[in-house]
Amino acid sequence: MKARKEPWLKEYLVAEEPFFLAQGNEVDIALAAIENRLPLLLKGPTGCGKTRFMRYLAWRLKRPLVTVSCHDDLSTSDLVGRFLVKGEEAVWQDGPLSLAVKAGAICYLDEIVEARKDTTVVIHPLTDDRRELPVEKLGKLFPAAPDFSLAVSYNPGYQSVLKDLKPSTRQRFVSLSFDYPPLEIESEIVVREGECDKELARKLVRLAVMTRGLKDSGLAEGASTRLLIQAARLIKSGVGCTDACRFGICLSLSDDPDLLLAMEEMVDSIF
Amino acid sequence: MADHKQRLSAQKKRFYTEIAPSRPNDWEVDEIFDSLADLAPLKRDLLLSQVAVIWPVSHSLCFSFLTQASLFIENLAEEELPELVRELLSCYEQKGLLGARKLLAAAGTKSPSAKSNRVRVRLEEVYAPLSLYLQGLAGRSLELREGRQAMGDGETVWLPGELAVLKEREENRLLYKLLVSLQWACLADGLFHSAFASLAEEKETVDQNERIYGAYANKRLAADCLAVVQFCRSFAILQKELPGLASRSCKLLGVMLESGLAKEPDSPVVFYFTATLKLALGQGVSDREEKLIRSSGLRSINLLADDSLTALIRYYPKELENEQEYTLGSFGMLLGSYDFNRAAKTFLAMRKKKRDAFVALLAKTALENSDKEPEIIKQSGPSQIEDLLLVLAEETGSESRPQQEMVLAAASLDLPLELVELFADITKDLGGIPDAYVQAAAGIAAHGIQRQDGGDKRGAALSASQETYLYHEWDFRRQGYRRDWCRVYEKQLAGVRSNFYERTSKTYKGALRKIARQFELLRHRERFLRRQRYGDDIDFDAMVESLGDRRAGFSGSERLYQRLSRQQRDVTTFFLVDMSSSTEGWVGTAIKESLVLLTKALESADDPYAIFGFSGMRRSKCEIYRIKDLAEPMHDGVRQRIAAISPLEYTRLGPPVRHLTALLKNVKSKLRLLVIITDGKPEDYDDYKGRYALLDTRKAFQEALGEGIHPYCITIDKTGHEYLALMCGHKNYVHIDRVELLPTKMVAMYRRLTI
Repeated sequence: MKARKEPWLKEYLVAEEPFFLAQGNEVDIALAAIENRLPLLLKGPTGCGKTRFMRYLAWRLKRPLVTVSCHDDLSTSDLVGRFLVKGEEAVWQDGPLSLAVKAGAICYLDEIVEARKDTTVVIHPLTDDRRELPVEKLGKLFPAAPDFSLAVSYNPGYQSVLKDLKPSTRQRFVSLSFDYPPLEIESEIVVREGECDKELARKLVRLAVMTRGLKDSGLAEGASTRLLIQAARLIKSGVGCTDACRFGICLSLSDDPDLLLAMEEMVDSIF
Repeated sequence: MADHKQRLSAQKKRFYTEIAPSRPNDWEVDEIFDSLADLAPLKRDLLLSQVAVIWPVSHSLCFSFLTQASLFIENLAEEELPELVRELLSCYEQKGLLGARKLLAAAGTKSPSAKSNRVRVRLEEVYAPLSLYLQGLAGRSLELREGRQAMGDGETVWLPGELAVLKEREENRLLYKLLVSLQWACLADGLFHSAFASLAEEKETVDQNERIYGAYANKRLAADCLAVVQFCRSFAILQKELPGLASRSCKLLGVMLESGLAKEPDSPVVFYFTATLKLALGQGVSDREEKLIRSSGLRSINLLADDSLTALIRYYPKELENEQEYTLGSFGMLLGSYDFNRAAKTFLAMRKKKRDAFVALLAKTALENSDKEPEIIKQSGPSQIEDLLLVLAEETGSESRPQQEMVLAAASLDLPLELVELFADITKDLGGIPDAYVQAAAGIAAHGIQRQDGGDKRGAALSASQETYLYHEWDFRRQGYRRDWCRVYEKQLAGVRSNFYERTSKTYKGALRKIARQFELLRHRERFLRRQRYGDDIDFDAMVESLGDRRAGFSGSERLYQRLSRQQRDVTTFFLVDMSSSTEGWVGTAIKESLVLLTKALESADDPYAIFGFSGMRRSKCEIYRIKDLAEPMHDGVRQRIAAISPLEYTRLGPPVRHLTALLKNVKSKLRLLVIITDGKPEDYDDYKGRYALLDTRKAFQEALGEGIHPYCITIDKTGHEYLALMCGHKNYVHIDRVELLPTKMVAMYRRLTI
């Protein structure tokens, strides 16, 4: 428990219980996986609650949550650490992954497929029984603290030859597949997070379901729960329902004039 | 009088100019101008302005248009004529000359139409957003087509070609939206499911309309009653799911209801329907209607309970069975109709499609998820499938979503989402998975093992098959598309055994060495960026220098790091090669040699690419030959196919560009190139030539650009190339006049384009 005393860790602790409405037994499965020191793979579309789920888990386990948003320029040094020049000295600076490994935190690599495949192989020794992080530049092995856990997420909607997990990476995880929640649960989330009434939330969710039906017609992804919450908040601040949906949902989804027109027809039908 | 004659003669001259080089019989032209003689000269000018649009499509149609013009021209405003001509050409292309003549006759009988045209909305105008809207509502793809009245069969929704029922244009637009929403609501209500749930395939020959309405003495009345019942149920769904649309439509529905009633105030059937609909819409009823409602006990008939067909039994008014003569007015259009024969066919076809997809996917998944030895699977095929079904039942049956996949290393069952959805669909439709499905999947799985044992022969069979696609074509004269005009066949080009590839490699040995060097450099441009403010490692040179500076009393640089920069190429290219008969000889050989050099270059650069050839004759036979697929590595088969490229027929360029655009838009690459290699202007056996062909190709290029694809045309045309800028846009082409330079120039061009 030495790790918990690190002062920087306080910033990474989730102090208040984040709102998370379980759709099934995902919390139990995740807790069982973490108890068995198995890494987690969360997959699901944008804005369906993957990151919120990780925050909820961190709060439940009272462990710090170190989140890294992956991008195609992310290098191994960005995860593991690097030497920095301070005055006339070269000083080693741990990266977020090394910090989490040593301190027994949860390291969450968000949208891992965005990172280059050669970068992500660095997590392999952490995800099997070795549970160690080799740091080539130091010539050292950092053994993971008992509480350390690793979670990664990706969006299968973006799946392409270029953006997919290598099988050697994929087959190390306990996988939880997320999707947009069923209508009732999604409405409840919008009521709670968007601070609106149930009727409005239901209408917003109905709109989202309709936009998700356009997926095969050029819309990369339908409206996420996050966008619905955004629209609900605009409405709460006095923006009209139609405008809130137009500016808070439709225009954020596409630039295609036909798709926009179709989505506006949907808004008009619902409100 | 002399002036009139002079003007008529000038206009006749103009007619001949418009249709040149055609030269119809003089007496035919005289006949036309005789029929136009009484029109004002300005009107005649107006008509003649459309000759250039209609004549190339059909000479007979153009004659009909002019001879019948006196019937409609007086009713049309100047700006309405092009619209009528567009409609006429579409009608001609779909229904032939007879249909087009009928349309002209109908245009003539219409009352002064300026106003109705102002309020009229055509399906074509609202088609794109409306079909997307329908897809969003249904959550799946439903085809939207033009029909005589609103109708659906579970796969297609038909709507009238135009609506001018209401006084305002916006109201007619709203009416279209309401019609399409009602068709969706009817599907959501499960009318066809309840009608055909127990339908077996062998009963397909039974007349379904007879089966549904057979029990009723007045079948027309029963069909109309069903339409009313279904409308009430569908509208109730709209009120719940699309309250905005339902409330906006109420006023409009009230107007239509009253207009229907006004035409038939004494018809008891119309009266019965009107009272029902007013109740359903929550609209006020008259005293007379209230009396009817009470006497018939309408309020106590629950139209929303059970399914529509059961509700119909309760609703059908036996006391009105003898009523035959009534019309529903414009409201009849809103109620639509149901063709159960057509719907049954679609229903069974959909069921079969789902079964085939499910069986194939189940067998595939069973095979993929099996860690047993093939011999064991062969013997335990069915039990393997049954195990899978159990997992599927658990996944779809459990209330908890998301579906947790306890993917623990190799013991995982990564079930395709499509399979889970099909399982749920079939279970909903048939109440479970029939044994026949399981047996079929087990059979395929076992066959799959045998195939794996004995080599994959299905691949060869598949490659021999051809697929067809329909594409629109742009007609500049009418400034509109000819819908589904061209049929594209995609075929695999059969290879020939030849040493062409090797021979060319030998001929261009020196050039190839240079090309390989140049393109290898493109592969991954990895380099260390030194003296950076941030980086992965310390740049020791910079650090030593900085320390030295500081010791010497200067301020040291802060740029002390180095990092690896990787500029990864992300280019996908489709090559489209002209295989028209004009490429015979040197040009064809040069094109093939260029392809050899290009493939070598692209293999060096590691860029993914595909090669297609195109040719064909007429719009009904545009052929695309697959020479190399994107995922296919370079092998002898591809080399043999390149050698097999040979001149075939004509160059209709629009359809292949549209087809490859459709394929390429699904490829996720930063740069997507479509390189067309051709030897001249696009031209086909029919009227696809000249400005028409150029502007259709230009439109296809614009469509590609709109999809984020860069089309580029390489042309070997000795006769001139001034048309290329018009066809491709200023920066999207290169013209090569010396054929022998093509191979090396083309490679250089590709490199320049993708750096």
